[in-house]
Amino acid sequence: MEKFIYTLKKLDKRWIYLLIFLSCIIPFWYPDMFPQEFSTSKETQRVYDIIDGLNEGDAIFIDWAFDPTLQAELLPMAEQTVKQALDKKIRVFIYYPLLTGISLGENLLENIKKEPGYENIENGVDYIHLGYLPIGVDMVLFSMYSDFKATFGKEGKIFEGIKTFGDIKYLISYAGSAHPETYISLQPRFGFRMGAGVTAVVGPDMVPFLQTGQLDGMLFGLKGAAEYENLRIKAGAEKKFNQKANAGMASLNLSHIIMFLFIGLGNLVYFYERKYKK
Amino acid sequence: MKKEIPLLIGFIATIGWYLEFFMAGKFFENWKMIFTTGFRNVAIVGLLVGMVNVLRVNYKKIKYNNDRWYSVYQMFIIALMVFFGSLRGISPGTPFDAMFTYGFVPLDATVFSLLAFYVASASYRSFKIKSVESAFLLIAAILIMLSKMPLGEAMWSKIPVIGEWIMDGPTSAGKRAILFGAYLGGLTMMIRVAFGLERSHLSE
Amino acid sequence: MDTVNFVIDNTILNPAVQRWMSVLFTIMMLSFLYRDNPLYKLGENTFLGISLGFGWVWSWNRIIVPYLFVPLKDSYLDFQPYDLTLVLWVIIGSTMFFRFSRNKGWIANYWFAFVFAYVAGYSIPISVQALFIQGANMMKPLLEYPTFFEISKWFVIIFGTFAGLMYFFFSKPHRGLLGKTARIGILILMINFGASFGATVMGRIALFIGRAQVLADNIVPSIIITLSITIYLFIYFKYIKKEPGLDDELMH
Repeated sequence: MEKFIYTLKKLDKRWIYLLIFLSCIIPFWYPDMFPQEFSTSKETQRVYDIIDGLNEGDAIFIDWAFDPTLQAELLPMAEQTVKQALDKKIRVFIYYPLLTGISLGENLLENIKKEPGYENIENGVDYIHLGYLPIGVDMVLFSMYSDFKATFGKEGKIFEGIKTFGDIKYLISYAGSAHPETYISLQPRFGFRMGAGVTAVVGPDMVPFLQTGQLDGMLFGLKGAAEYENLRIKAGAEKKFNQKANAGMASLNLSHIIMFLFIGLGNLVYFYERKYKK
Repeated sequence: MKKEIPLLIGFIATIGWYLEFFMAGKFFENWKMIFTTGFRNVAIVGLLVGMVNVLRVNYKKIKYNNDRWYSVYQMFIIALMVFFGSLRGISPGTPFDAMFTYGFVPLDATVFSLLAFYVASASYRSFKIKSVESAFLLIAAILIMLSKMPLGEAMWSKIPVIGEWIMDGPTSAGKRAILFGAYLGGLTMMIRVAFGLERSHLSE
Repeated sequence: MDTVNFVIDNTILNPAVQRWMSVLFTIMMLSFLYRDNPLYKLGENTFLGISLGFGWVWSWNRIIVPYLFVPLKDSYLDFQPYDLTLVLWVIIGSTMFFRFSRNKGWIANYWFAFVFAYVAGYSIPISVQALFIQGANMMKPLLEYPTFFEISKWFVIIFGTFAGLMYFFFSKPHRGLLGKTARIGILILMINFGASFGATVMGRIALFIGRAQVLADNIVPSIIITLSITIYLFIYFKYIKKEPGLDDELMH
């Protein structure tokens, strides 16, 4: 036992890295390793229901505040929201507070257009990329409430009937930082409805805003994205094109089991030393 | 001149935007577009300042032999991107976009994914139950992790409910306590900026 | 030019090359987990170069030219009185160039003072509003909720928030009732930090799962590139890098 504890204590961190690496990759080849069914949280259900409750011709505003760093968690969420909106013929306005997120968004829409059922969607009619402005989102929000179209300097049929941000039915902010809090802090003043799709790191920070009602719903991390995909698949979306987050669930399970193992082993070493080496 | 005028500008701007909150919609609406356009134009000049700064920094590195060849390589890549951008534009499907999608995206995503390994290693080395407080921390962490993975629900159907209770209850309570402190601190800081007591943003 | 287009179409725009590029750059950066090495530094500088190049070109095409140079050119060709505002903002923005000067750097402070001040201005009422919203949300009649789950949750929120705030009250020593409340407060905060830690672990691992998916979907390039980089690292650390560097001491 003492030799085992000594080995654990002197364990090179690169063995830990290798185990985490393998625990993330192997499940992609054996996706049925773990049970695939899981329930949907009420926050995810709320976001889905709100967008589902909008009518044809309504508009939603997507605040695409993430770059390739966070695409694993947030890109599937954004994809499902855009597809759900396009299915219901809701107009989609996408704004990029980060320059490096633009290419992700543009490529996503180009890929969506290649899927069956979305061939006829048009830039400027069904959706529009509002681009990037080198000013803070607070100033953008003030400006959108004065004149929505002039804020971005874009043209298109999609702007018909949209004079100010008050004509937008729902704002959803995808971010991996405290960025949605800028919108949340201005939400009581302007009274818009908003939801958020956040990485797991930021999720706990948003819970007080869910409880006050400033956030109508929230997609939490990779599981939130997978729940959203499942909701859309249940509503009739094709599984083949809507499985990006679900594909990572088995890896999430195995890597977390390995994490628990390491935490347990670390504590075993600590308690053994405390007991026998006083 | 150097100190007094920025502080005066700060005071007038703070009072102006503070009053704007109470007079929203009455007048001042058209002024906001002037500010937005103005901020945008100033920020665009700021982008140019940033570009000049990058060239300046890399010039110094190349001239004074600090990681010279890496800086040369970096400038070459920037020049390559400018070349691709001017060749066929910047829309999806162009070489410019391909460099971003198949060059920058894997690099950026992988740099930050290294944190996963560091978190695992840190958990192994330092996440130990040394006291009651650390026990609470560890148990909360494990329950939240179990509740947010499908396996947790498969093990026991009540785990997501427990996880939800922990998130909505004690986590929210702790966050609110910190939020109250942050809001009060932020409020104090903003008032100090208004009255010129806070000058750290005005570097000498 | 035809040659250039031919090379581009068959390299950077070729789907097979794109897949290999993705895998190569991923594994180059992952090589840092073994030890800091020139491949990682090369990847890092490629990352910086592409991001800067992308930013410059995109900003130039979609922001600087249409919003700055075109209006300036139009105002030069046909000056109108309202163009004065454009010129004024450009002059204000140009003061930021004085940041490069040691003696005249204070000129840039005028604009920074305005930016900080406007944020401070609108943040003051918003902070007060946010305080009241969070506080009002806690003024709940607990018996309004029918279930044990909800009653216990709100009980913990209300008294937990209060206890957490008491922990941060340092004007009196933490003894007696205040001490006991502060102790409960710290336990609540520890649960909060534990939940944040658990969520952080999940978030960080999810970042790598995205990359793992790319590697798993391109198994042949992944194996070939991993083997090649392993051989390179072996040769580099055994034969080329003779002296241990500071980065080695930090890693181990």
